[in-house]
Amino acid sequence: MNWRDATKPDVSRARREAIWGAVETSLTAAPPPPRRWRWLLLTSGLLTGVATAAVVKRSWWVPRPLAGDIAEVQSPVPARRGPRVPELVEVPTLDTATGAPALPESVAVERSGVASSAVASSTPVDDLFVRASEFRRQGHPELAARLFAGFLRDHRGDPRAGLAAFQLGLLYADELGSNTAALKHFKAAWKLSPEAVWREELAARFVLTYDRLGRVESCRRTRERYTRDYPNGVHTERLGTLCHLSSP
Amino acid sequence: MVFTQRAVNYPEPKSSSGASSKNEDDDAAAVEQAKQGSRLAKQALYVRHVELALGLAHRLLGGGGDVDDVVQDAFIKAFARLQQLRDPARFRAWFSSIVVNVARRYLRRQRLRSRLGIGDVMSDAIDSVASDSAPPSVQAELRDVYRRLHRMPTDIRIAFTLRYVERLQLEEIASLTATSLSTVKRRIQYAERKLRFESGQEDAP
Repeated sequence: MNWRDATKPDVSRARREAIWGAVETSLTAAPPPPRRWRWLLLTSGLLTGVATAAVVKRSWWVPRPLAGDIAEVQSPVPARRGPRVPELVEVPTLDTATGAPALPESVAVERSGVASSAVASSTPVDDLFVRASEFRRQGHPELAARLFAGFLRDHRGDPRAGLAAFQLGLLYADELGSNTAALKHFKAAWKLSPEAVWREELAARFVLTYDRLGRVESCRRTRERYTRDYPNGVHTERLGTLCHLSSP
Repeated sequence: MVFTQRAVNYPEPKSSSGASSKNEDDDAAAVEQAKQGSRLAKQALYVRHVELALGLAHRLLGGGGDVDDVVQDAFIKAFARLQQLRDPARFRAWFSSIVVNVARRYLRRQRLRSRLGIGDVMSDAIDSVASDSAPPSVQAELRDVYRRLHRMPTDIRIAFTLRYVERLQLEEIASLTATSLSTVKRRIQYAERKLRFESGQEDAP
């Protein structure tokens, strides 16, 4: 058997019809709004919690982890739904009370499972950490990171901005696999919250992150600072094993 | 390793049969009507070419969830640019090049996402590249090949896949990828040498 014959994809009727449904929808949909506006719509949907944006004419990219929560909707009937979008979904027209711009016919908004549980149509700032934690628990660290990043951008003066930065750093370090981004947010948290109760944890995180980045000098320097500031710190023992030169 | 033994004995590319003249006539008629805005004609073109697109996208991407998106994007792009198609009888070849282009965009995006650490889609897809009906040894071999291709530059990967998995002639690959014949040859040679090198049969390319 040659490689071509061994790589026959599924060409089932259901699959073909699903794709055609999406293609046809795009053929019949009204012209899409300008790209930047559409992107803002998606961003605002994710950040402010208006809803999960669902767009009939799909021509943009959303991270794969979010795809399961997004349904393409030809109001009021979902044309194609992500695997995590529940069967029975409410497909309201956009609530003008949210202050969002009126949507053209080609765009509808769906309150998916994630949206209804974690993103209410009105999203008071106080709920942010709860919602972000919920996203994180549901396996959406990107979405949680977006919430925190949006909060940081829009509420830099808020007393919880430092905590948001810290949480963002933790997300990047532990879930999104970017120690460089984590370090950046840890630094912001350090600057924003000089008196925070979690500062010891943050100080330890600096050491850990520098160690992961292979920056031995910075690692040692931050570890010295940690042991000086927290002589009986809970992380002292663990940090003692870090900051070694990696083998060539 | 199974791959090592068979990789140097690539299956012979199939001969270029091309679309029959009847199919070309049908395509030409459908394209003309689709240009006038006929949705039925567009649907006919879709029905006629969706399997081609699915197969091509599946083999270029190595399976995975992006295949449907590539096919969908390719059709949307093709219908949007239908007016630019000068020879309606050549719809199949023209559309194939769109699929390859869209797939290239997705492959590059996958690489970027992989590098940024926001999901190694390619690795996830590799397991689904071979059909279940294929013998286990061939399935393993394909997974191995795609795993190695995964580490190669996108254009090299595409050229190799079109040649040895899709089994196209060099001229067809040059046409689909809008590159010269010599570029296609160079890319395929690079991929071959790289694969042989990784199999320990040759020096680094």
